[in-house]
Formats: sequence, C-alpha cells, structure tokens
Amino acid sequence: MLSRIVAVTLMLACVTGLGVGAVRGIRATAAQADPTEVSAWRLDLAYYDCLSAQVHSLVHRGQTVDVSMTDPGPGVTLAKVVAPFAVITAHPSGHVVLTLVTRRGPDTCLGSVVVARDPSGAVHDGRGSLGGRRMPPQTPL
Amino acid sequence: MSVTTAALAAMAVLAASGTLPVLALVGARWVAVPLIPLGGAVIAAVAAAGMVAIGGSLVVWFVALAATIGFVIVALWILRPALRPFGRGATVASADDRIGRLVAFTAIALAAAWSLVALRTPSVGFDARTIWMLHARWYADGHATSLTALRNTALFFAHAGYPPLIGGTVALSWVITGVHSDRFGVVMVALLNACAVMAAAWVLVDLGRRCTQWSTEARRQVAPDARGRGAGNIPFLVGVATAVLLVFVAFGVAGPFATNGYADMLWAASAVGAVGFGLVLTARRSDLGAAAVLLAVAGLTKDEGYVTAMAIVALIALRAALSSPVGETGRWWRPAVFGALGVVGLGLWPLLTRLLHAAPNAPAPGRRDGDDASRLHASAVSMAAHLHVLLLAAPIAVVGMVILGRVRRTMGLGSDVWAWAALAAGLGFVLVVYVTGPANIELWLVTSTHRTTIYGALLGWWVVAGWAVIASAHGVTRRGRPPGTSPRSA
Repeated sequence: MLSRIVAVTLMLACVTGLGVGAVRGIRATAAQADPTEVSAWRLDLAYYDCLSAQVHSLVHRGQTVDVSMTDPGPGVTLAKVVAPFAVITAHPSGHVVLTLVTRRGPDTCLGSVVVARDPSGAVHDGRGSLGGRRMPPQTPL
Repeated sequence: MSVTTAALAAMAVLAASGTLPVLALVGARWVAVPLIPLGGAVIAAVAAAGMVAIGGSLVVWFVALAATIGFVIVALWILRPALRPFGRGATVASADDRIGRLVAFTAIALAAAWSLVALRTPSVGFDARTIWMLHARWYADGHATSLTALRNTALFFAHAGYPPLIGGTVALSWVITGVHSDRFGVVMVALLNACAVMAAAWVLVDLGRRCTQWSTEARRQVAPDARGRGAGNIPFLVGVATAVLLVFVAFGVAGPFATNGYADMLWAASAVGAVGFGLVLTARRSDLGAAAVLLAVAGLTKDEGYVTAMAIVALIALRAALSSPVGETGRWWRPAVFGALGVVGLGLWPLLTRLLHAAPNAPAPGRRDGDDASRLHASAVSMAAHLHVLLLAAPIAVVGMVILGRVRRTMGLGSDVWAWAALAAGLGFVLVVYVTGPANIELWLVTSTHRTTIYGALLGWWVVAGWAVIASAHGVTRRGRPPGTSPRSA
C-alpha cells in the first residue's frame, strides 16, 4: 500500500514538474515569435544581404581573397558573407584584401562598408546600402 | 518557389529516400513517421561524405544510395517475407490501440508544429552562417569545392570537419528545389529538430502502452473475468500527456537554437530518443532499429553527437550482453559485434576527415588560462546553471529505483542507471573538453554551455517523464501481485 502511495505521489511530482517546465517552454517559444524579435532579425537579414551585395560588387564568384582579421569581430562578420561564394585564403600575398570598416553617411550598411584593396594598392568601396539609424547586429564571438 | 513550398518538397524527397530503410529497421509504427525524414537526412549525410571523399555531385550520390538501399531492402523482403513490416510478422493491434496511438501521434505532432511558431522570426544564427549553411554551400558546389574548403585553414571559424548531416541535407534541399537561401536551410534544420523531438517523445507513448499492458495483466490476475482496461489505461494516458509536455519542454530548453539553424538540438534530441529506445524500452528488434536511426542522426550531426552516440551504442551492447543467457551458443557475442560495428560506423566520418587532411577545428576564443582544477570548477558551475532539472530528476530517480525498481524490472524495462550512464557520458565528454581544451575558459563557457548542456537537460526531463509513466502503472495496480513478481517482491 505504501509503495502505491509513493508511486502516485511520484507520478504527481513528475507530471507537475513537467507541467511547469512545459509552461516555461511555451513562454520561451512564444517570446521568440514576438514582433520585436521578428523586427530585429529582419534587420539582421537585411544587414547581411546588404554586406553581401557590397562584396558581390567587389569580388566575383570563386575568386580567391583575403579577409582582414585585424579586428576579429568585423573580420568574422565579413568572412560569413564572403565564404559562401569566394575562396578565403590564408596566404594573402597577391590577392584582394577585404576589410569591413565603420563609416558614417550614405552608401553604407547601417554604418558598415566593405573595402577592397587590390594587390596594386588601389582601394574600392562596395556598392549597396541599408539606411536607418539602428545599430548593426552584434557579432558574438 | 516560397520557402514553405520548398521545405515541403525537400521533406518529401527526404521521406521518399528514408521510407524503406526506416520501415525495414523500425516496422510500421507511428514513430516511423518522424524517423523517415531523419533517415533521409542520414542518407544525405552519407552521400555528402561519399561526394567529398570520392567525387561526383551530391544529388547523384544521394539518388544512387537511396536506390541501392531501397533495392536491397525490397529484395530482402521478397526473399524473407517474415521481415516485411506489413507481413505476417507484424503484430495486430486492437481498434482501441490504433485509435489511442493515432490520438497520441496527433497530439505530439500538434505540439511540435506549434513549437515551430518561432520560425516566424527569420533568425539565422551565428554558427548557422559560419558553419552549417557554409558547409551546405560547399556540398552544393560539389567535390572540388568541398574538398578545397575542407582543407582551407583560412576558414578557421567554419569547423570544416564537423559531421555532414546538416550540410548534406540543406545542400540537397537547395539543389532539388532551386531555393538557395540561408533562411530555407534554417527551416529545414528546424523541421529535422521537430522530427527528432517527436521521436524522443514517442518513447513515452510506447512506454505508457507497455505499462498499460502490464497493469492490465496485473488486474486480470486479481479479477480474471474483468473486461476492458478501465483505470489500467492511465499509464498510456500519462505517457501521452508527458510526451506532449516533453515536446514543449524540449523547445523551451533549446530556446532560439531550435529554430535558428544550430545543430545542438538535433543531435541532443536524437541521442535522448536513442537512450529511450535502446536503454529503457524492452529492446525489441524494432526498438533497437529506432535507436539505430537516431544514433546515426546524432553521430552525423556534431562532434559531441558522435562521441555521445558511441557511448550509447556501447551501453546498449553492454545491456544486451548482460541480459543474454550465459552459455547459450551464438548469443552472448552478438551484442558485442553489433556494438563494435556501431562504434566503427560512427567513427568513419572523423576518420575520413583525417584521411582527407581536413583543416583543424577553430581554436576556441582566447588563450588557455587557469589550471585543470580551476577550469573544472568553472566548467561545472557554468554547466550546472543550465541543468537545474537534474535537481528534480536525481531524487525522483532515487525514489523511483528504491520503490519501483523491482516493478520496472518485471516490466522488462532497462534500469534507470543506463540512462544516467548515458547522461554522464555525454556531459562528461563536454566537461573533459572544457578542462583540457585550449581556450580562455570564461569566454568559452559563456558562449557555449547553454548549447552543450541541451542533451543533459533534455535527458533529465525525459527521465522525469519516464518515471511518471512507470509510477502511474504501479499506482493503478491496486490489488494482487503485479505479473512477474514473486510474493516477496510484491
């Protein structure tokens, strides 16, 4: 008899715990579909689309390039955009060097610009812009 | 083509390739429904591995593999009709059973579908861009691009040697639909996540069903002329309820990583399902087949996944060997052989990446700091912050094993110790990597333990749910002796 009482108590404890966990899970899931989140991630997509457009204006598909990692944060952000269609090299000599720089004004992606330096030393800015006063998304490392 | 249409088309292709192998391994069971696209994803992963290693295109490899596997299975079914999932060997369920399982599956599927509401947010996570979608682009571009990228040390952030299931599946989806967006890739990963969670949750339904059969038998021993199940159905209902709750819990535990293209939830949920099918249920051939599919998914998704999957394979083999009759010719060595084959199979991808001279994984951030003891302390504290459920699961497991351990054994279920061993193996591996790894430990922990503990947290919740079902079976067996127990054990 005692074991059955304990069993029923155990079952109730487990189901209650799962119920609390499920409610927290539902809240956490619903929070991710919040309009604020949707807006923030739309901006993130637009930011990367803008950077991608800038890189495409500077580099052709399959071209070997060097992505500057002098500042690792912007470097990795830029690498995320470049790597899907160009070949990033660990041997920079003789290749275009791409750098993501911060600059105020028009013709930027929320204040970021992709800059290409040719082996000859010529410098070109990427074409493509995303206006607005919001900050570019954070790049956690 | 919209992302939704493309996702449906890609899932249909995965299902088309996964149907025969999953039916052959699992049989005609409801759990086969979420396992079928996962089986297709496994074939896509193997196709990607073959394409990288040997040459050709991903689609050619995928079609060739799916056709070959399908041909072999159909030939086997023709030669040995008893192996057919719908043949004479299949069990015949009552109408009540069939309706009950249909309702259970619908409830679990609806819970999983609702949990995908977070896909409204078009998030593409950091690792999704730097690792998973990038791998997919390599695979979609074919052998030369993939091999060059795999060896490219400049892509230090891309973890080129990570297993190919997500990259292969997303690449295949892009190629066959013509929709090449990261957003579509993220949706495909989320759908696979939902399938894995559904499979892990379904173990609880099966557990409830078997507990119901056990408690019904117990009641019939007391009242042989009793009709129907009455209160004996409670374990099944508890199984369905806990399965649905587990789906919501799982998506809550994973948080944004369930729907932003990360791999952690996929391998974790698959490994938890494999623990349920392989180490808790009665280890019938069909259960082991489901565990095999899920272990293949876990092992082909991420490095932590294949190490944990190897540990689970070893535990399943050990459980089977220990339960084999000693001295019976031809029985005791089979689990060891199958276990060894499983471990070797899971080790093929890491071996392949070494043979192909893949670039090493990214050095974790910062320089190594602290000694092993301080890193162990910091890692344990950081991981514990995401494993609060173990404070609930551990005492419940202790009480359950003390009070219900014998009942559990008479049901033919595996001891809870197996599940805890699987949990310790997965978390232990992660802990060892943190302690012995190269990085600045604080930075590393802050950016990763919320994901590396998903497996431990999910398995903790699963253990809680499992005890709820088993306890409900004992609770409704009011009089008489449960079947299979001696008078002393009753």
